Amino acid sequence: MKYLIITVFSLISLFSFSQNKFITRNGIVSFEASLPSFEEVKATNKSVTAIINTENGEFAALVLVKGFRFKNALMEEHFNENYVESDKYPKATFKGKISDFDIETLEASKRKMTYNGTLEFHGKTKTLENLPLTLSKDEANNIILSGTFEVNVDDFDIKIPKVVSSKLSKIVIVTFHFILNKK
Amino acid sequence: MRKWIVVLAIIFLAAAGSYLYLFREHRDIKNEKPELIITSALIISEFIQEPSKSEQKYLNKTIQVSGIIKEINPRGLLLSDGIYCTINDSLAHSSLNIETQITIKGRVIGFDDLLEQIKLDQCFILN
Repeated sequence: MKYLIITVFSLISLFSFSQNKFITRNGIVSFEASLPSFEEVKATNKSVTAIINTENGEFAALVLVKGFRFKNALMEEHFNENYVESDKYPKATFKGKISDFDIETLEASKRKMTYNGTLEFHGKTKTLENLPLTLSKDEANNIILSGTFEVNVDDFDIKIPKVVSSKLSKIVIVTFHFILNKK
Repeated sequence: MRKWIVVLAIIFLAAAGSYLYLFREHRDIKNEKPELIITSALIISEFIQEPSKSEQKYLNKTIQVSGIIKEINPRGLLLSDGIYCTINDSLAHSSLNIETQITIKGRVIGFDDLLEQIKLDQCFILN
């Protein structure tokens, strides 16, 4: 009986120990497809959810596309209705893993690491391989994760009408910044 | 002479019209009438039963929802463990308390599958 209790308790503690997840619901993801001398094509989403499993470095992020805000309201409307069809495809997701992740090695100064994973958006999936990101830890023990990568609109089957194609870049620069708290 | 005045007026109206079209204002969620007034429990159960159908139904709509505050952080509130609201004004909710009743208005931006929560942005606290 005693052993049973000990076993049960150690199982429970093991189980709760393996729930090492850090999350955020206020992650920031921006993209920019501006070209010099044309109007800025840029939007920011401040409601991104991200989860990292500190046991193995697995990482997931979910962007609700409607949450991208532009300076120009008309641009925001065109983005949602004509380009990314956010009614039909309301989410963009990333699932992947940070290579050689070890929470013990994180410190206040930024540390460069790489990650691999898949990005799903507008009904298409693209693999991101060995891309750089920076990781650090703040005084409240939150994990700060940020980076930037480029995607081509063609990879996600996003059609840009001829009239505007000269005013925006097909290569879109995406930046992300997450401050993850222990769950 | 009169013909020219008409031509100028048309040009002016076209310019003003296209200016207003190109540089129109953003949606003003704060002053928009909510399309639906609902309790958090009701909308959460709707999303849990039929996530994608509910998402289509509520996406981009301004709703008014009441529930219990479960979590407060500088950027938003968690209502009844199932609705996360990003608040525009970070100081406006500093006097709120966990486990109290609240009514907010905001725009539904979708369903967060990772945490199984409905997400609202541009939220305003009504009471």
